[in-house]
Amino acid sequence: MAEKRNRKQAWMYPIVGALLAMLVAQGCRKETPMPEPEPSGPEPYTLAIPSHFPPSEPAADNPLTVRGVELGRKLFYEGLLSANGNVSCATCHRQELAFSDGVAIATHGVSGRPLERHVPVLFNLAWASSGLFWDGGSKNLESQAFGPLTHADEMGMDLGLLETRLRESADYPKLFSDAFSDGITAANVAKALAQFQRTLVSGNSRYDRYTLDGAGPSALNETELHGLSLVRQKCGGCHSGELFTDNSFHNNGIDDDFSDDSHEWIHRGRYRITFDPMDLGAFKTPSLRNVMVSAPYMHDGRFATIEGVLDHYASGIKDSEVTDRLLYQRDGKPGIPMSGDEKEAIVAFLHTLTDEAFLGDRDFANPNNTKK
Amino acid sequence: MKTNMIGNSGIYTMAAVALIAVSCEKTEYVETEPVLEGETIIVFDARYGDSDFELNKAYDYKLINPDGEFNLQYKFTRLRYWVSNVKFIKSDGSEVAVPDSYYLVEENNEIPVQDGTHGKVYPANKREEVAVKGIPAGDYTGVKFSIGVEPKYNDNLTLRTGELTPLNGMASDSWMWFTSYIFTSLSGEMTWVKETPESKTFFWETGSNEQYSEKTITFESPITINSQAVSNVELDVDVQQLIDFEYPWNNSAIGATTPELMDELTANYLEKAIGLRTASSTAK
Repeated sequence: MAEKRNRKQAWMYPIVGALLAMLVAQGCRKETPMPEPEPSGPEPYTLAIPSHFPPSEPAADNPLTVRGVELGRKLFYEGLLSANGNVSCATCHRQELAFSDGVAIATHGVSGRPLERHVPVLFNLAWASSGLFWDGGSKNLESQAFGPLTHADEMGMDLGLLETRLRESADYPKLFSDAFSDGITAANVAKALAQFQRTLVSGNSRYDRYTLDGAGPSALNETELHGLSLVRQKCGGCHSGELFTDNSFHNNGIDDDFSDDSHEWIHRGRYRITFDPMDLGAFKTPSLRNVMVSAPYMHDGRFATIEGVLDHYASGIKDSEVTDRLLYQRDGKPGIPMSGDEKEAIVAFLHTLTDEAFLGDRDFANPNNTKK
Repeated sequence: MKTNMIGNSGIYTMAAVALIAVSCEKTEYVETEPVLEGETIIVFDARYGDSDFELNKAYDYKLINPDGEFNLQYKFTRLRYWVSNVKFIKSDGSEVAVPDSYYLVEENNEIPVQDGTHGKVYPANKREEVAVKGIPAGDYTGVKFSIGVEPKYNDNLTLRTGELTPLNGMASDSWMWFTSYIFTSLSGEMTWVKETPESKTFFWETGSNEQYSEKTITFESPITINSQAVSNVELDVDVQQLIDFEYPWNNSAIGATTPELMDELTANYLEKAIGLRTASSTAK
């Protein structure tokens, strides 16, 4: 018994010492209270990245959390974010169309006036490190959100009013305080939207299953395989890697006149961001993933069909000083030669990049829909 | 065993009390040190040459450029700019940075929020004094500050520091396609005074990481900043220097699409318009 007690006392010495040290520290810094115990941080959201994808750099200033993503998803489908209460992000970014809207130029903003550019698709944004918008002018998803939120022809919202509306709503005060320590702010609206958008990973098309599993029910047929090899060879300069985009900016020869300086140079492409003359008319490379459900094409939606796009690359390239040299043949002629059969094979392959699981993923759908 | 345990904890408690008593005496000794952090007021006093600066008042401006001499008149409706990252310079040349020091200096008429689409206005305001707090006690020979927003915050409109916010019209509107705060905003109406006068509005703004730049002000003699001293730094901001352009009439809009003119405008703020009037400190 005695021995046991002694052992217990010896075991307690360091603990008592530590407690004393804490007491001493506490006793002498009356004006600076002990730091609050570290709150058990919000539950992180782990992004499921397909194994054949490149690594993605997490957003250090806005780490994904379960509650943040959940809130962002609800906000994405929330009409309250617009001036008239009817326009949400999803109005122009429809899941079944890979979060695009199917028209060349949208007119479904609060003003009904046409926008200046075509609505881009939204997926694999966790890899979009070269900026958002067709010219990359917006540096991250967080800052980008303020664009459509405040643009008079998109959601036309006043950010102060947005905060008021959310504070007065039934659900949002708690959802925000669960997700962010400072609750409802316009900045947290943008952060939550950015978090949700980073979870939109599309990498489960037939092509992907073929790449990961090889033979089996997803195996590509001969035509599709031929198309894959043609795409890698003829389109891979820009639509590169497993993301099928280099996330860079190219002048793809659809225009050769950049004198139109209206709308703060919106028709001049990447040039208005970099002021590099070689960036005149250069726009961001969109991914080829889900391309067959996201017509029309180009930054202004000018091509209604994928055949129109292929015809452009084969025989419609405009030759200018700033047309990307990747679009020229060895003899200096502009264009990427493609036979009719080759175009068909390419289109057959592009169909295998449609990610039905992504387009129908309930985790990305409107959480307010009650349909099961 | 129970008794023993109580006895033990009794000893520990006594030891703890003794230790606390000893170390608390030390703390009290430290607290008698007189120097604690202080604050100072920096005043950005807008002027027009030798006159006071007022909004909505016509100021004459003689423009001389390669095309000749022109009589212009300026009426101002807005002068707003971010002052950030204040640092005080010690006599040994080292610098003390004030954390979260972001301030909006402004003198403006009512500004319709988002071009008036919401019937809301940003109220008319005049704010030219900035109270910089939490400055470590010491004697300082000068101060540095930047005009604009440093890249970390300028690249992500959701990050917060000091007074920085995207909600007051110094981030939104026409700049949203290009991630940046508006660093400086000067606008109003200019009139070409001639037989048939012509007038047009002008919007001269700067923004973008390239325009973020620092100004150093050196005091005539060091000032003392601590909890026992009152100090202030008065700066002149000469608006007549801000509008010093070779071709103002043809460049009534300066912004993200005119980087060279933004360079000139930034230089006008930092190298021509802002300067020291006086800096002083006295014991409380």
